[in-house]
Amino acid sequence: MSLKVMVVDDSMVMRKLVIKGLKQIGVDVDVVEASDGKDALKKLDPKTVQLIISDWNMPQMDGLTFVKKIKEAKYKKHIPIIMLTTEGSMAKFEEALNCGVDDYITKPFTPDKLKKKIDKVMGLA
Amino acid sequence: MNEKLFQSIVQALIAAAQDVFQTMIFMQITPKEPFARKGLDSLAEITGVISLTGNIVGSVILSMDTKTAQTAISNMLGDQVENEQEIVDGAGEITNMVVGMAKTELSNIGCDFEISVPVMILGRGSAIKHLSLEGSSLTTIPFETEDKSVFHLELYAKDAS
Repeated sequence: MSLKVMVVDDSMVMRKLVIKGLKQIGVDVDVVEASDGKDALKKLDPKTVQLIISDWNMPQMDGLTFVKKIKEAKYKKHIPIIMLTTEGSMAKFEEALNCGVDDYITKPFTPDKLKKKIDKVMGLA
Repeated sequence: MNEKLFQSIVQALIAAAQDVFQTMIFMQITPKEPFARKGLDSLAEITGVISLTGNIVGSVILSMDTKTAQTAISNMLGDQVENEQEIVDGAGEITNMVVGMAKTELSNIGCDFEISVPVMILGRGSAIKHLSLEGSSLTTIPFETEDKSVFHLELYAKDAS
């Protein structure tokens, strides 16, 4: 599978880890990296990015605010968003889904878990 | 702070640290006997501090030497990491994952709090000053890695009220 993915995380190590995970599950990945929501909004090209994987807790603009902005925008809201975060409580999960997140992965994560979620949001499951 | 709740937080942090190291870093770590110490200067060269706010107030502090952090991040990425910025960033992410996982576990017993993004401190013996230290319960938990290096996880916390 070939996929253009935007990875949003303030940790460059976590971004690398996500990219490594994508390659491990066989995704021929073309990546756009962003260090927070504000940076991601600047870099996002809705015509080419097919999937967004975003952290929640970030400086400048957190993941939830970023998701809300994407889901409110007519030409961006079609892009599936997976939130990858340490926030694992049911309350946080529901809050994220209510804001328009398509699915949710808690850190620490495995490539298998990543694959299941990607297959689901991309309609491949 | 209620001793039972404090011990629940300690146990959640220990379990989370073991899980993060096993799942992401492919390394077994062994917790050693926790101890109390005076003052909160950093115990190693790289220290990540995460503040807790909500029902409880305090911090979780993860301190490890550069070599230990370098080994952990290299294991995590499957590639030898030499860049200092990357090593520090990775140590912050380990701190974040450990505290986040413990937070999730503790929310199941009704202990809810928010966590900050990690603040990184470089240098052994750097002062870590806390406004809310007075009246807090404190503990330092040493962990031994497979290659016998030691890092420390510290908790200080008190009830918010």
